Amino acid sequence: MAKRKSSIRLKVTLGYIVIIVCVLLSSILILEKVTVLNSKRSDVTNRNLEVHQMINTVEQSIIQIEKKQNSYILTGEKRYINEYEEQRINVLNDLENLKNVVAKQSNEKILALDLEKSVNKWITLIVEPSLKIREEKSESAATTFLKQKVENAEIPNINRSINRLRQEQNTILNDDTENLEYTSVQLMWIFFILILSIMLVGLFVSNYVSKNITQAIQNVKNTIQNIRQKGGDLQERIDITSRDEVRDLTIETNQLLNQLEEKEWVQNNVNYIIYAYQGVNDIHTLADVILSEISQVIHAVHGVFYLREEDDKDVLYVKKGAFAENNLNIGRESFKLGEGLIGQVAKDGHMYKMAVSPESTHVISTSLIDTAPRTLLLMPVYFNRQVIAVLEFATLDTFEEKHIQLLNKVNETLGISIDSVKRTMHIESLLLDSNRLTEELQAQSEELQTQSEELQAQTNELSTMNDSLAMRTKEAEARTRELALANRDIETRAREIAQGAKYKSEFLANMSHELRTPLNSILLLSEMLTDQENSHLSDEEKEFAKVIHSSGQDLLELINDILDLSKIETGKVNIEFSDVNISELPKILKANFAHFAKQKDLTYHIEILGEIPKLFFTDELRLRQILKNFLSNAFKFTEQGKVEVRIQSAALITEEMQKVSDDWLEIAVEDTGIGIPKEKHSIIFESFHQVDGATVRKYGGTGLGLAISKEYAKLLSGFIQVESEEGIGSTFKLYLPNMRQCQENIDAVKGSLAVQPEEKANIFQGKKILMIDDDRRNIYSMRTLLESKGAIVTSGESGLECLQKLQYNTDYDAVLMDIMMPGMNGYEVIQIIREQMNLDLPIIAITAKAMEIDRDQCMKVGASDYISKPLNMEQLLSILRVWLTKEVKGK
Amino acid sequence: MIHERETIEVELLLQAIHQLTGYDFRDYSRPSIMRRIHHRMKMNQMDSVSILQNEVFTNEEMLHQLLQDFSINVTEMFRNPLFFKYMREEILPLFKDLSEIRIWHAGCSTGEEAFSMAILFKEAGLLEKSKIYATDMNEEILKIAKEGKIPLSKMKNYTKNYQLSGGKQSFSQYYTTDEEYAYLQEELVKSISFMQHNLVTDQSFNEFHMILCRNVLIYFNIRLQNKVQKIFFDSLSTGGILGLGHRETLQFTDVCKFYETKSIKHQIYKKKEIRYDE
Repeated sequence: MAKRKSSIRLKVTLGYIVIIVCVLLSSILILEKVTVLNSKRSDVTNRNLEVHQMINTVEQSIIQIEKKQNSYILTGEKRYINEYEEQRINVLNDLENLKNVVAKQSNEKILALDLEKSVNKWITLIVEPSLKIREEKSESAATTFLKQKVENAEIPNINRSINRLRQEQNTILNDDTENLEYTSVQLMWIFFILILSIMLVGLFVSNYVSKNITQAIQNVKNTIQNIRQKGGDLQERIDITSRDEVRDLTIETNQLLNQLEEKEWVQNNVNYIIYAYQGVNDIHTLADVILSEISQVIHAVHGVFYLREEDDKDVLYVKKGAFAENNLNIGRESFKLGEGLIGQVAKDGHMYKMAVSPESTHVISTSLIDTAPRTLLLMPVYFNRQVIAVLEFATLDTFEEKHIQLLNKVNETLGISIDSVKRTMHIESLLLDSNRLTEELQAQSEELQTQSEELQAQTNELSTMNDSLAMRTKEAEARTRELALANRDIETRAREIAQGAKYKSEFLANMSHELRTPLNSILLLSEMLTDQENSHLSDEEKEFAKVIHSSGQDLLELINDILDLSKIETGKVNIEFSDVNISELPKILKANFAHFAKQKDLTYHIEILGEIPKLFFTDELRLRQILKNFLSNAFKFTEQGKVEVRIQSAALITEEMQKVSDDWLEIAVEDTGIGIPKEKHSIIFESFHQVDGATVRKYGGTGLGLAISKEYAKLLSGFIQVESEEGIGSTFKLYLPNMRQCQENIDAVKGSLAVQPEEKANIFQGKKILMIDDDRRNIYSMRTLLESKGAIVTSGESGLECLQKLQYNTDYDAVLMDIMMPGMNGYEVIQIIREQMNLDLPIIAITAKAMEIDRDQCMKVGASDYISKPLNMEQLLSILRVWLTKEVKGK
Repeated sequence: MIHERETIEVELLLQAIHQLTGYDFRDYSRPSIMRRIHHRMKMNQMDSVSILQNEVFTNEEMLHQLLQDFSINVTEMFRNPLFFKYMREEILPLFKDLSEIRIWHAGCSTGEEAFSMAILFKEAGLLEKSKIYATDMNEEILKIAKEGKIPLSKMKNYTKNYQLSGGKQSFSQYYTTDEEYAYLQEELVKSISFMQHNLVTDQSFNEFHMILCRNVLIYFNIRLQNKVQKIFFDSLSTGGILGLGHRETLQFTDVCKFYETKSIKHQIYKKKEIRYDE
């Protein structure tokens, strides 16, 4: 530590000493002044007292002299003379004394001399002579002398002098007192001035000393503050300005700062390096980053990174990265444990620093020079007490202590990082693999889906191609057929009439549509009127309602017939050919008409004669319609006897028939009714023709049934024959070809009937729909709509009814379910269907309002879809089309 | 040996296709491309890739066919319904205050998912201020998409998906039908701009608040995936949403760290607020 020349203690002590000396000096000064003042005061008092005493003594002595004089004069005794003599000497002495005392005061001196003169004069001129006179003469002479001398009046003079002396003395006393007073005030002032001066000196000294000390401290403080304000910038140092303890403090602080700066340098660089390789998850990148960052910091010119790798036999340290690698590829690719310096360091686990001889063969290349390194440093990196990597650095200079510190610091975390990178790489590669696999799986599954879709498309395409082929044939044949038809038409009717008939049909078709709507309401309402149990209607009124209902029903039937007919005539009828099980036919026909037979007490018999093909390719619906017409006519016009149906293969197949098919079916309906006169046989097949007006009146009916049947038969490529005798009965025979053998013929027929080619297959055709709604009007309107589309609609008015229907028959394509129903509501019904009956047919819930809760509830209980009231018919059709279409599973 | 030869053949074929058409399949996932090529070879009874290549050179139709083969168009409405449920509940509310919402559906195929998104936005009341851009590299598929018609046979499944995605309306209100197809509401179809865009060769074309690219990246190799992700990243506004297919992930891509994960289950990410500068 440097020797200091002035310490703070010295400064403070010196300051105090200065102040104490000042105080001492001023105290002495004042003490002296006070002493002088005091002595002066006592001088004045003493002298005054002395002067007065003197004056008194002189006065007394004079009185004594006078007294002795008088006593002598009176008595003459000698004793008095002596006494007088004594007194006289006294007075002279006293006067002398007085003179001495007042010698310094000129005024008093003059007065004292005056007094002496007067006394001397008095003694010599009056007393002495008087005494002499007495001695020599008598008493009286002396008295007389005295009396004479009175006017000399020396005594008053003396008295006057004494008084003046006294006065003078008093004046002097006053003056002296005043003087003293003045001196005392002066002293006070001096005292104040001194005090003030001491204070000033004290202030000055303390200020100087404290300033001297604090300035140095301030200096230190400012520097430290600066460092703090600059956010710990440790580059600043404190200037050494003083030579005291603060200087020591400064030096120590600066050294601390040096140390801190170095530490900070280490820490910063460590952080920087660690930050640099943070988030790196590849070992090569990690190696490169570490080498490059560390090399830059410690001014290394080379760096190599070896990572521990184990195989079955050996532990190897393999090069993973290098810094400033030249084209010679610095460093070997790998070292075994213990092999070479790298291997040795890995084995020992100690840092190794080595100076390289200048003749070293290895050179560092820059673009300008090649030079050899001077110092090498090998550092082992630990993880889990195992040397996981070795780093080697070379420098042209030497590695400083802080560089080593830095490396050690980096080393603390490097092992963990390397290991974590190794692990991350491992995990990542596994994850990446798994991810690739997942993606690959998805891609494959999508490709498969595409392929299956492609297959589907190809199938569709094939069928489309078939269709279009068929279409072309159809068109060609249609033309031929049209020609033939036209020819036949020319023979039978005029073209204009045919045209007229067509207009009529179209008109009818439109009209009947218009008629159906109001008629539906009439039917519905009249039915409701008759059905209502607690109705306020009278029986008679109910009867009226029944009549309205049945008349309406008739009217509806008529309209339907008209519509059918007009449809046929305008060619708007779809024919769906399919395999029909003919052996089932008798059962169906039986069931449909058995009650009529029972009602009229007729024999009703159906039989199949001989061998018939079990499956017959035709349109089942139309076939049944034709037979229904035959049978209802038969039952209508037969009052007694029998109605018989015979089904057999056609016995006779004409050439013309053979053109269509080899396989023909003949179905005959025979009755024992009123029969038809021969001449009327041809007209009964025309629209609105019955045998005569009376028949209409008697039997009712529209007279359209046979016309429709004939047209249907035509659509099925068949024909109808009638055999009848009036009064005996009629036999209606339907001949139908099996269309399987001649697919193209069907198309021909279809084409001939101008089936619109763009019309797609009707989804609703033949679909069985169960409809549950407590409101009949809804059922009615939906039923009308769906049946017009060709669906087969079954309806129920309560949940219970729905369940019963499903228990009896589950073969429905879709269920429409109203939710708001009395008794068991829709939710419960759906839940039972799904959970207890375990049916997964589509159920479309009809919710009353557009309420979300309703829908959630619907989904929860297992509805497939929902639609809100009021029903939009188009939406209803859409939703049904979706749920009636067979699903092609996406996955 | 055969395998190696075939690798070269495929490489050459893809090179040829690139030069002939500009479509670049070289960075597509090689196993997938191989399968597509094998599929085509099998369909046309070809023995080697070189024969196919020759055919591609000489027969315009074969080239076209192969391009169609490479384009996989598997999609559904509300595919992975829970993804859409998450979108509906967690993501759409984020867009509420925007004055305009731009959405890019990359690789839209026949547009089913774009239509689904449109329905989602409609039900959230956001459709009017939304602009949905749906792109695909296959122009033919876009023609189909623009028609907005869906085979009836798929609609049952879509209805179920819609309901599972949290749809509360009657799904049938969004379409009309004929005997073969369901036709989506015109409003929905009109709300989507279908455009041709090839992720491999084309760049970003706008800034979007949401980008959906589902089950497209599975056909790409990692390099191409990274490239496409970069395009998406550059096209997303700050805080924008990226939705991927449920088997895809952002995890191993370069841009991963610039996204925050909204849902790992549904692969929905949100672009962080920092800039990507590299």
